[in-house]
Amino acid sequence: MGTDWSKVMEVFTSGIVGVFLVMILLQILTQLSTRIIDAVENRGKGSDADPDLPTASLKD
Amino acid sequence: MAELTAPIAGNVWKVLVAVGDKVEMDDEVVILEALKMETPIYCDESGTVTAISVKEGDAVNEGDVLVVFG
Amino acid sequence: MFDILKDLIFSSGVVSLTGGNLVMWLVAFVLLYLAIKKQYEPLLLLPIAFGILVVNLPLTYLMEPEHGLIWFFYHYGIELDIIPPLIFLGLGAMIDFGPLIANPKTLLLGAGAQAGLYVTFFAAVLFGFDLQEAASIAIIGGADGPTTIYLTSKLAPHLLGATAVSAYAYMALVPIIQPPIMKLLTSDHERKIVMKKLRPVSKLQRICFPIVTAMTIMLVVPSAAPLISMLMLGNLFKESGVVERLTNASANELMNIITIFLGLSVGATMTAGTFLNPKVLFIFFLGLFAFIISTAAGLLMAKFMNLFLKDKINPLIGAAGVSAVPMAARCVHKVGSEANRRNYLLMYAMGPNVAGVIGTVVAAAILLKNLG
Repeated sequence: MGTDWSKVMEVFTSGIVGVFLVMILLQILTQLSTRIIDAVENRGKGSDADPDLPTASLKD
Repeated sequence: MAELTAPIAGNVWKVLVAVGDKVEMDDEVVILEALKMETPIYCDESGTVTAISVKEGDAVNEGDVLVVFG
Repeated sequence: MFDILKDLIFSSGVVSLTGGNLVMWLVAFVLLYLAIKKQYEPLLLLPIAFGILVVNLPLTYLMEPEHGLIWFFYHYGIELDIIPPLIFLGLGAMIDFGPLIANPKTLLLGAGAQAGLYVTFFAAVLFGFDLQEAASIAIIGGADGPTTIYLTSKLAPHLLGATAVSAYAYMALVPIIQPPIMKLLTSDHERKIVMKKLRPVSKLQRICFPIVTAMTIMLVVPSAAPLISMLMLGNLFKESGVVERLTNASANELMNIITIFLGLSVGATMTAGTFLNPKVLFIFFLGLFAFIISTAAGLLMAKFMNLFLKDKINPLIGAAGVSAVPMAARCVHKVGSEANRRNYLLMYAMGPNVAGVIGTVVAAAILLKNLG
């Protein structure tokens, strides 16, 4: 019952990388959608609208 | 005149002071219950209690006034 | 007359009792004590304990495939993956993603804590477990009962009882397990950090979040679908505000009913044969290890993020990436208030706490994709 170490490493790295990538993607999309909604809602109120700047959002 | 506002949303569990009490900074003033946890709220300055804006059992939101000092 | 008596005796379970059964009775009694007297997660531990007791009474055939009452609960509820997703439906109907939407960086803290899972996976393989078993043990560190049950029932069903009991036991012990690690890995100065006020989150944003999250995760990691779809649906029920009856049913009636079947079925997998095994001791040890490493990983992730952030986060909230909701968040708040009485970290800690739930599902999905 030898362990397939290459498989272990594959699971380990794909797991850590995978979780981070998915969460970062989710973070970006959440920030994007939040800003869009902010802009839409602010424009509706007639005050200064927040510019839609997804790239600035990571270093909030 | 300073106000102590709720830093988190929750329910007022206990009010530990009465109007006229002298309080120091970091005294426990009110205990809120949030997520089933007792959260003591502390004074951020010294003074005398002039008004208490909530009673036990009230639900408060973040920013609601709890106690007023003179 | 004597024959009738003889027949009664020999068809009874008593003569078929093994020593192992008696040991399992003891386990069941201990768990019943913890559930009833100490109130450790009683909603789950009580039915689990009773399931253990009942399955270790011989000749009842309660778990007999195709025949046993409890077997039917287990087969249709767990083997066919119905129960854990339904628990997530209820969970979603109760969860507040507000603090997460207000500060989406906390998703990274939810991810950081999951790194602990993979370290545990590695450790479990070193301990001699095969890959599927190691994955089921690693997921305990996600501090999420339904995800643990979901993954284990698919990858290593013979370990279901041990991993489930491990997960729930350590979740109840979070207030004891986490603080020492939190104090070890953070400086007093860091623990005093007061965070910037959370921006308000509008109703539309709250409605958008479960939709965006469900679509994103299901497109990228389809194996997460059963769990994440239910979690987000429940949340959408709640945030839409228009289906209060469905929200209430999910969070209350449905949740309660499903919990009964879950506990009973999981407990009933713990026969003397499957549970009284040195492997189980390792599972309990590795489960604790998983919680510890995940807490550390979350804390370190927070400290790492602080190197790049203008508005520092209090690294303690990283520990809440271990998704024992809301136990870990409460624990973070307590430790934070010890350092600085006027620091109220509870809501800030809820961000990573709920992010961790999502993170654990993603981690489980990736493990499933690789090993299923």
